[in-house]
Amino acid sequence: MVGWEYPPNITGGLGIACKGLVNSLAQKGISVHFMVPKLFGNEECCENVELIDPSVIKTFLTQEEIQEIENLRANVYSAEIRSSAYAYCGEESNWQSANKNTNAKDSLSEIQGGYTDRIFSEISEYAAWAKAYAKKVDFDIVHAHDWMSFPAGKAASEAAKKPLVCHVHATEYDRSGDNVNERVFHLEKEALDSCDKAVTVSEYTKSILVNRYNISADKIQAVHNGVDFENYDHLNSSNRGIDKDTKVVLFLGRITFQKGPDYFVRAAQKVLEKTKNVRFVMAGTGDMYHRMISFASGLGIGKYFHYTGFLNKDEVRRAYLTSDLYVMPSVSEPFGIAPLEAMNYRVPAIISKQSGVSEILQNVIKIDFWDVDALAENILHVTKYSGLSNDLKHNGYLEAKNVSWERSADKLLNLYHSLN
Amino acid sequence: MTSICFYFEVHQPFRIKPYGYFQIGHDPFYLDDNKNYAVLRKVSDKCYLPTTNLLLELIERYKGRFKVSFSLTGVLIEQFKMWYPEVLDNFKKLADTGCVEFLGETYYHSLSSIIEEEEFRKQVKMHTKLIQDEFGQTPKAFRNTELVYSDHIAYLAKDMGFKTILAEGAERLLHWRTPNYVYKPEHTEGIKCLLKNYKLSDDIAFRFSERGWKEFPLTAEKYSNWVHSIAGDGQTVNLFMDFETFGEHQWEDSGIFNFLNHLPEKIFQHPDFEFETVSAVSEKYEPVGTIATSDLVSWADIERDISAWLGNSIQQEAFHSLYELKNEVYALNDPGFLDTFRKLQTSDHFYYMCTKYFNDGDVHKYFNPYSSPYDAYIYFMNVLQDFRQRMKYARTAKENSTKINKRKNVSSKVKNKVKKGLPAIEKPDGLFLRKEIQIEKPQLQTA
Repeated sequence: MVGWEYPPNITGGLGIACKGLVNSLAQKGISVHFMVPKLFGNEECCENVELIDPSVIKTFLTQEEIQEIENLRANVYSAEIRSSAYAYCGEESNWQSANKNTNAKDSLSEIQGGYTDRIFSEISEYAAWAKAYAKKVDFDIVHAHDWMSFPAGKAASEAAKKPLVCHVHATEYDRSGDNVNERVFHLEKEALDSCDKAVTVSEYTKSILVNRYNISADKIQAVHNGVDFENYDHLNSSNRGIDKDTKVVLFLGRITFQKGPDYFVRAAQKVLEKTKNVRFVMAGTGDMYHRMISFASGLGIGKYFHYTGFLNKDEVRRAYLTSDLYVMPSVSEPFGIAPLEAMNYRVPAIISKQSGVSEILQNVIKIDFWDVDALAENILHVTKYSGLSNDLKHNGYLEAKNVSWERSADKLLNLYHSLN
Repeated sequence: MTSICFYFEVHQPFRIKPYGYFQIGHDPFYLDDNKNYAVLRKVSDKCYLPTTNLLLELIERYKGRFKVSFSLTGVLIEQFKMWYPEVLDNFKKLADTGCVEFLGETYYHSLSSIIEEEEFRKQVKMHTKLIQDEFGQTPKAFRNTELVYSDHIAYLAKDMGFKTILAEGAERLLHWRTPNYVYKPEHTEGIKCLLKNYKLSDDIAFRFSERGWKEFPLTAEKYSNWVHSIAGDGQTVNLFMDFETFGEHQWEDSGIFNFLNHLPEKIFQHPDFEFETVSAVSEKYEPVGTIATSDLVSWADIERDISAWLGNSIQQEAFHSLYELKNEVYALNDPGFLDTFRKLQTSDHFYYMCTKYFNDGDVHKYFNPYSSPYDAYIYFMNVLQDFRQRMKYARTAKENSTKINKRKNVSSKVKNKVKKGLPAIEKPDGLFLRKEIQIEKPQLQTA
């Protein structure tokens, strides 16, 4: 498998999904070599899994072979163009900004991963390492995750003459709306055209591949993500700060176009016309963070909003546990794991139909992201009618429990078998 | 004779700590004690102590001919008492010289004058009382927070017994006229206006150490020449500025103390110049004209209006969300809640939310303890939510206790039962503004 990040060094959901799949496949007896641009040494590895990066690959290569790849780096670097690849991750994690600093210091340093302005040259170099590795090691299938890894996957597949599976966790259209980066689009398109099988995280994403990338539907299979279910004591872990008789409605995610934060604020305005006993919490940061703060205060509803900024894992859990309702009004969400987390913590969820996760969930309320009236109405319903919210809490919890990575791994196994 | 009227504003806010969403309902301590302590100590060492020492020396050297005026906010005096009483002692020594006047303002350095008249009057009274207690003077002249001025504010000042009010020497107030005369407000009799000569004030306060300025370096001699050129065409030169100009905004190595040290000597070289306090200038001269404005004029930024505090939607939201609590706070009538309510009114909190990041923004950024104006807003609003909740608990508790007391005829036994049967009220952790901070008191640096 070829990826671009691996927990805990991640900027988004990609690394988490990869780890979930890798571990479940490994438990089913599949031996997985998972390649990333750079290992940090703090990754957790289990049986049947080998994590590799260029420094590991080097041990398989002769000095001449290594030199060949490193010469390539110098050539590619000179042809580099600044990219808008930042949009992919939006927010800078510490990990990422650390990368940037190292790059500034030594622009010809080793491949770093992350989403820097060097990303395109790194992708090419990454493919060279993958190709070299593929010639030395025996395997049956190459499975690449998202566009950064597609050239590497393709190179490995061609070198070893093994089938290639391209796994699409998000398309350029999800990330950028209609302002697609042509270069990214072409990387995606080229790999999807030439691969043996494409996997998408939802039917929704599959339809984007069919309609926007002109890929044959027969070639694509949707394999929905799972979630790592957490057992917790929901009675003792809440520690709620907002008054008990005031309802807390949570938005959690990057505050960026794709996630629909403005629809959340507009809906809040309508809710507040009916009741003032509600607070809206926007958790996360992003390029629209400040704009959303000004937007709400401009509407005169700022005092019903709270903003948390970036949250770590424990704080995310706490945000869920202290909320009465989770809302995901995403404009475009290939999958969307957050509602499953909310359900895990017994928080009712309202999610947009424009999300992959809505295809597999029943015990949530689904709305169109643009339908602010419906969103507002449903926020009122859930916060007002305890019968409804209790049902959603209870059934949602049970439902989320069954959305496992194991199920995803089974589907992948069938797909692998069909290729051999 | 032309008077030089030095007036220094001395203020430090109680800054709010980074108060996150998860602290709401759990953390009753809103203030950033460590930061407030550190800033107070630093500014005292760099500015308040050395400058007051120098002023004491100058007053002694010129045997009563050198005079200045001050305004100290209540929130600053509270901090001196807790963390640096030696500085307050120096101000008391200055008061004892008879050459220093202390002006009146709001205790909390608030903008209450533009929104809540009743609250404004209360804060001014609190401040007057404080100045009487600390310095044995009753303020006769008034300076509103950030020199925010309008016809109505002038009326309020007169109504509270002040004889003089200060304002910015803005073109909007003066038009073609010079600030170097005494004026009176439109519509209100019995109070005079002194207007800041912002050119000569800002030469010291803002431009003194600016290397790109064509007059750099500014010497006491050069400056005195500019002042002397007014001779015969002015009653007063009103030099109003933040006291922190000396040693904090303009650092010691810029030569600012040297400048102040030699200024009286150079000024006195012209026999027609003297130093006077605000009220003395006001009493000495008859007004030559009227100042009229229904709009608010302040001494901040190039706009000289209130946009530094209420210029964007987050500032307005925070401001109004705070003041709409007034009736509830009054009804509760609890000293702790009142004090917190008022400390949240300090104008600096709103200044930190200013998003004007252009020319004036530099200044805003310098003073901002938070990484962005939006953070300042977020913390403030979180604090406000916690404050509202605590008020609600306190109100419920109060109502319940009155209910029990009203049942006079029931035996104490029954009374206890009733008490037991009350709905469990989450007891607020108490409302304290600060924890006792565990900082070792550094050795006092005597100047």
